[in-house]
Amino acid sequence: MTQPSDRELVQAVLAGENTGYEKLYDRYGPLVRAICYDTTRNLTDAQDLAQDVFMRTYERLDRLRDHDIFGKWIVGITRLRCKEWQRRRSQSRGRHVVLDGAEPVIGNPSNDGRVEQLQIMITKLPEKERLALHTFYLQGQSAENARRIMGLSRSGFYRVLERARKKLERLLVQE
Amino acid sequence: MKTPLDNDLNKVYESFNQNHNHLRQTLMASLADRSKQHKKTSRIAHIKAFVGDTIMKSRITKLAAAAVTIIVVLIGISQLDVFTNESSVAFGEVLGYIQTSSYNFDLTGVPITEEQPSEAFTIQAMVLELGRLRLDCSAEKISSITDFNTGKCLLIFHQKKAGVLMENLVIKNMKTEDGIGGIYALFSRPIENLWNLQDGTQENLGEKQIDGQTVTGFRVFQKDPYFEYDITIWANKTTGVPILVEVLPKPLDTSHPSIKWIMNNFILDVEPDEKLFNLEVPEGYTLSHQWDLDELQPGAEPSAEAKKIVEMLELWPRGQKTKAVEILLGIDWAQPLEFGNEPYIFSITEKAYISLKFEDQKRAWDEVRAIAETVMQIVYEVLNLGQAAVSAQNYKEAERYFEAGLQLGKLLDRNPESMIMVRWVGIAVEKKTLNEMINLYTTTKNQEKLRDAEEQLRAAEAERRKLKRRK
Repeated sequence: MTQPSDRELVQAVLAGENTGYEKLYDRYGPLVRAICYDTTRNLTDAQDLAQDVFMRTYERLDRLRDHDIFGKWIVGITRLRCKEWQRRRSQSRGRHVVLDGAEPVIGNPSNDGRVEQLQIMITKLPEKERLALHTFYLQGQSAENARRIMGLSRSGFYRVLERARKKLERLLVQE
Repeated sequence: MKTPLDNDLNKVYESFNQNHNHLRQTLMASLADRSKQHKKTSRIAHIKAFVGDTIMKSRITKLAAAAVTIIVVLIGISQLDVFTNESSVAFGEVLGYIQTSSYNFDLTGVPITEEQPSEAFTIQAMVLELGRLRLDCSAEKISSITDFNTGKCLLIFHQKKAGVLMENLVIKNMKTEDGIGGIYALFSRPIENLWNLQDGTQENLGEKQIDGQTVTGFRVFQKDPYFEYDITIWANKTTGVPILVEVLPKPLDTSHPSIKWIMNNFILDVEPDEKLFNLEVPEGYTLSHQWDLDELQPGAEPSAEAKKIVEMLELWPRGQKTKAVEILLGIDWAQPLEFGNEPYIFSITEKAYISLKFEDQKRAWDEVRAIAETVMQIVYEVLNLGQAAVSAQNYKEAERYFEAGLQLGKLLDRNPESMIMVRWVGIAVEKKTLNEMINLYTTTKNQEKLRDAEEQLRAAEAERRKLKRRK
């Protein structure tokens, strides 16, 4: 069965059908959490922050002009919200750089050491490369979906993804 | 085909599915009534955001916040248009471009001085992603690469082929020890300001035309311990693409310089070369402020003739000038001249000097300058003695003095890698003594030596011009 498009789901929500938003949440929830995790380095905080992102997105949904770009839009809102979170956090600590030297903490650590190591490596990649990995692996490994979310051409997206994967492999070998 | 890395990455990303169903239920429960009263609830959410997520954690503040919310609703939410007017929609979109894309733009600084008009200057700016910035000042041949996320900034001085890495980048004080932090802060703050802008804090300025485009304007005020910033953003009315941004920092302390910043020529969604944002110094460049003087490579054991020069330089400041000149005249310049690490004037290269920590640079500079002054005094002395010998028609003796001065100059200028300041002094000494020699050989009508001296003078001139360009 064909999945409804983002446009159809957004229009359903605006018409008062909240099940559309449930589907959007299923589609983008893990991705938003992954982006939040890059900032919070803690899964519980990432989940809270992601919930807040979905609340905000819902409240502003009628402001989205092009309903096809919901994915790109929510990723943008997530990045902004993460920045806000980081700023508030740094203000409360009286510092500008919050994550200096902070080691990632995952909620339920995997028993697999390589996987844990990989999780840490990902946080060390530049944001664009992290985002390429997140979108690709959390969007059913569909380059088309991922590149649309990132606003890149197909070849551009593959370039970034390949760069990220190569860096990860190199980092893993170094470790 | 799936690789082992694919499998591991899939495992990594499984963690982001944890509690998904429960989280969805919680979210949907809190959204249940919102679809009916979308506008009202969105306003309440803005008020809640205004009250502040962080203070909501305390029970007392939660109650207080709830009370504020209720009162606001009772007195009429419509009065709080600042949070919900049409402009905030577009402003959010504008911020989306500024805070989430890769883009290039021109950053023009217009110094504001009451005394005299100063020239504006333009810097090319590139944003790779939020927090990662490169500035290139082509006129001054300086670049800066900053990663606000890691707190590191690399300043590159292309002409000197040197870089300075600043870590823990929290510029709390505009007046840092070496002034670099202050310069950096001056350039990077306007862009940091843009990254820190928040939707809902702006004043709507309406519409106007810029370069044939209808633009919508927003104005925001920000403040830090040094400046109050008046920020104006003009963005395309339809697309939200920023067209013109002006940041006017008003110094709280009048001793700070004031510069109005204008950002324009925005090119969005570029794919910048990530190498340009690398925080390592480019190949062939030297990283500054890394080493102690003691960490420099040990020099060779000084040769016999080098020891004589060191002795001469020690005797002169003690007032034993005749003895110092005597030693100079006794040096066999055909013998090897190998120096140890000290005095630094003969050993330290420009690259090594740049690589020194700030305080050691100062130490080395002071020592080199003092010895260079001593050398100049000795040279003036031998030139005076040589001129006296010329007057007494003792040309052989005069030539000895001039030759000693010339060799001293050549010693300072012999290594092209030496500190620029040392070579500068060396060339000055060479020129001065060669002019005296030309006069001498003109008087003695020694054509061969005259030609040789003139040729050497031309070579010294050319070297000076080359060095001037490098400087």
